[in-house]
Amino acid sequence: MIVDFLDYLRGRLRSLAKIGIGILILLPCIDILVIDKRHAHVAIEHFPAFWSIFGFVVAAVIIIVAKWFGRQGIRQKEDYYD
Amino acid sequence: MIDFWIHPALILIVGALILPFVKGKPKKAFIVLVPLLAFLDVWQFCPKGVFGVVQFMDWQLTFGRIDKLSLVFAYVMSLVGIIGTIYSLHQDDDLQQIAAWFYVAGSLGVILAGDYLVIFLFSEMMAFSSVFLVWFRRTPKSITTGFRYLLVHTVGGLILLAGFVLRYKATGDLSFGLLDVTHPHLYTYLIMMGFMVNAAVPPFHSWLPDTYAEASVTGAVFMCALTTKTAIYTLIRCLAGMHVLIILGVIMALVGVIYAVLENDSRRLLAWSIMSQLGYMVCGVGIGTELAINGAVAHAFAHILYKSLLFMGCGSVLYMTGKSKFTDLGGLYRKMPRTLVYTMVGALSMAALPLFSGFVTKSMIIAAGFEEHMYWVGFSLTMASAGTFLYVCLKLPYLMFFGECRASEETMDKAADPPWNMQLAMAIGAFFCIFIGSYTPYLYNMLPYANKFNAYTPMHISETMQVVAFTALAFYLLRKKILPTAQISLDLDWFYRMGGRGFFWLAKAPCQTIDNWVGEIYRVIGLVPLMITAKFWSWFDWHGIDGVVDGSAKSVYGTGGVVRKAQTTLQYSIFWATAICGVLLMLYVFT
Repeated sequence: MIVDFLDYLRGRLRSLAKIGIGILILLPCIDILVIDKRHAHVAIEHFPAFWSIFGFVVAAVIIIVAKWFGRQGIRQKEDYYD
Repeated sequence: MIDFWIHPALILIVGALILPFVKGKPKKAFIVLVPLLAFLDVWQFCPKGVFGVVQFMDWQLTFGRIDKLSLVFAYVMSLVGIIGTIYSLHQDDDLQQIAAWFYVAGSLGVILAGDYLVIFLFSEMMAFSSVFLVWFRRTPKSITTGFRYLLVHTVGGLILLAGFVLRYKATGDLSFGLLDVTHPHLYTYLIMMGFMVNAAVPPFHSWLPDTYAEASVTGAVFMCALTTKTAIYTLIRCLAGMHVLIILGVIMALVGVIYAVLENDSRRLLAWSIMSQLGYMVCGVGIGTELAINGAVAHAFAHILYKSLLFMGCGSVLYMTGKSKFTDLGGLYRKMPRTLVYTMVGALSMAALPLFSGFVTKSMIIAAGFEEHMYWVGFSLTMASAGTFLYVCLKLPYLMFFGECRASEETMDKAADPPWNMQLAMAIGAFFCIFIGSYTPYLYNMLPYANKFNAYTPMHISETMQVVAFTALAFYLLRKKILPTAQISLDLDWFYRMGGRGFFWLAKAPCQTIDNWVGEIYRVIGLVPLMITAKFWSWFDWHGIDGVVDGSAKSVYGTGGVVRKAQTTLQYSIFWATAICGVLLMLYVFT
C-alpha cells in the first residue's frame, strides 16, 4: 500500500513540483498578509517573509560551509586510521 | 507518603541476574516483563520525596530523591528501556540483554541519586555496562572503539571525582544539588567538565560519533537515549544558569549540523545529530530560566524517543542489508516501506514540524533565548533547526530510501522490513513522537515548572513552515553538492588516536633504539672482554692445571660421557621433577 502510494507520487513528479512551487509562494504570502506579528521577539521578524529568506540563506550557507570545511583536510579516506 | 519504595534500577538488576536461568517459552515474556515492571514502578510507585537513605561510613547516601525533575527523566528512561528491549527481542543473546538492563539501571540510578557518591557509582556502572553493547557487535573495529569509549569515560569519571572530592573538602557536603554558578570555584568547573564528557559537549564530544556508529544494532538504541540525556539531567540539576554552557551549546548545535551534512554513514549521521540536538539542551541549561529548563527537559524527553526511533530505523536497514553507508544504499523504499514510514516520523519529529514532538519542545529553548534577549542564540539555534531538517528529513531519506540506487544486487535482495518485534518497537516510538506533538498537555504537565508556553501560535507555525520549505528549496538547488562520498571526517579524536599512536611510536622507535644501543655498548664493553677472559681461564684450567696435576679431569669427563648415554631416561625424569619443583617454589615465594 505504502509502496503503491509512493509509486503513484513518483509517477506524477511534475504535479508534485507544481504543488511545491505553490507552497513556496503561498507560505510567504500568508506570512505577509495573515500572520499577526505583534508578539514578535525581534524587530527584523516584521520584515516581509523574513523566515523564508532566513531559511533559504542559512540552508545554502550550511551546505556551502560544510563542503568548504570538508575540503580543508577534514574528509579523508575510510582507511585513514588503519 | 509510603515508606515502602523499590528502586526501579533494582528491578532491572535482579531481572538481569535471573535472565540466564529462565529457559524455554516464558523467556520472551520475562524479557518484556522486566522493563515493563521497572516502568510501572517509576510511573505509579514513585511518590515524591526522599527514599533509600543509607549510612555508609561517614557519609549519608541517598538512592531515591524523587521530585518532578528526576521523575520525568526516570519516566522516559524506563520507557525507552521497554522500547529498546522489544526491539532486541528477536536476538538470542542474554549477555547483550543483561548489559542493556544494567545500563538502564545505571541511568535510573544516576537520575534518582541524591549525592555525588551514588552518582559516581551508577555512572561508572553505565560506562562499564554500555561498553559491552559496543563490543557485542563483535567486529575488530568495535573492540578498539569500545576501549576508546571506556578510556574517555574513565577520564570523565575521574574529573568528576576530583570535582566533588574538592567540593567535599571545601564544604563538607556531598549532596547533589544546584551549585553556586555565579561564583564558580575550581570544583564547579571540574564537576561541569565531568558531566560535559558524558553530555558530549565540545571539546569532549568525539567519543559520541565514534562509538554510536560502531555499537551493535540493538545496543545503539539504548546508547543513543541514555548516557547523554542522563548527563543533561545532571547538568540541569547542578549547573542551571551557568552561562558558559550557552556558548558551548550553540557551538555544539552548529558543529553537529556541519558534520552531519558531510557524513556518509547513516548511524554516524544520527550520532552527529544527537550532538547537535544536545546543543539545544545544553544551551537551555546555560540560559537557566524556568522556560529554558522546561525546554531542556521537554526536548530531552522528545529527543530520547525520536532519536531511538531513528536509530531503530537505520538499525533495521543495517540489520537487514548489512549496510549503513549511503554510498552502499539508496532506493530502498520499495523493499522497506514500513521502516521508511517510521524513520520519517522520527525525522519529522527531530526537524520539529507541527504535530510532531520536536515542534513543541525545541521551540521552548529558542523562545527562552529570545525572551532573555540573547538574539544570537535564538537565530543560531533556528539556523541549526534548518540544518536539522536538511540532513535528517531530506538528505537521509533521499540517499537511503529514494534517489539513485547505489546498492549492490545482493544488498537489494536482502532488504526487507525487519522482524515483527523491531517493527512493533518502532511503532511504539512513532506513536509517542506524534502523541507528544499533537497532545501537548501529556508532556507539558510532567515538566518541572508550570508551563505557560504555547507552541501552536500562528506565528510559530508560519515561521517553521517557511524555514522548512525554503530549506527544501536550497537543498533541491544544491543537492548535487551533498551527494555522499566514501570518506570519513576527522574530528578532535584525531588527537588522542594519533596521540596514542605517537606514544607507541615513542616506545617503539626512540626508546627501543636507545635500549638496543645500551645493550650493544654493554655487550662490546662488558661481555666481550669478560668472555675472552673466561675462555682464557677455562683453557688454562683444562690444559695447564689439569695437565700439571694428573689429567684426572679429562678421565672423569670421558667416564661421564659413557654414563650420560646410559642414564638418559633417568636424567630426563630428574630434570622434569626438578623443574616442576623449581616452578612451584618460585610461585610459592613470589605469590
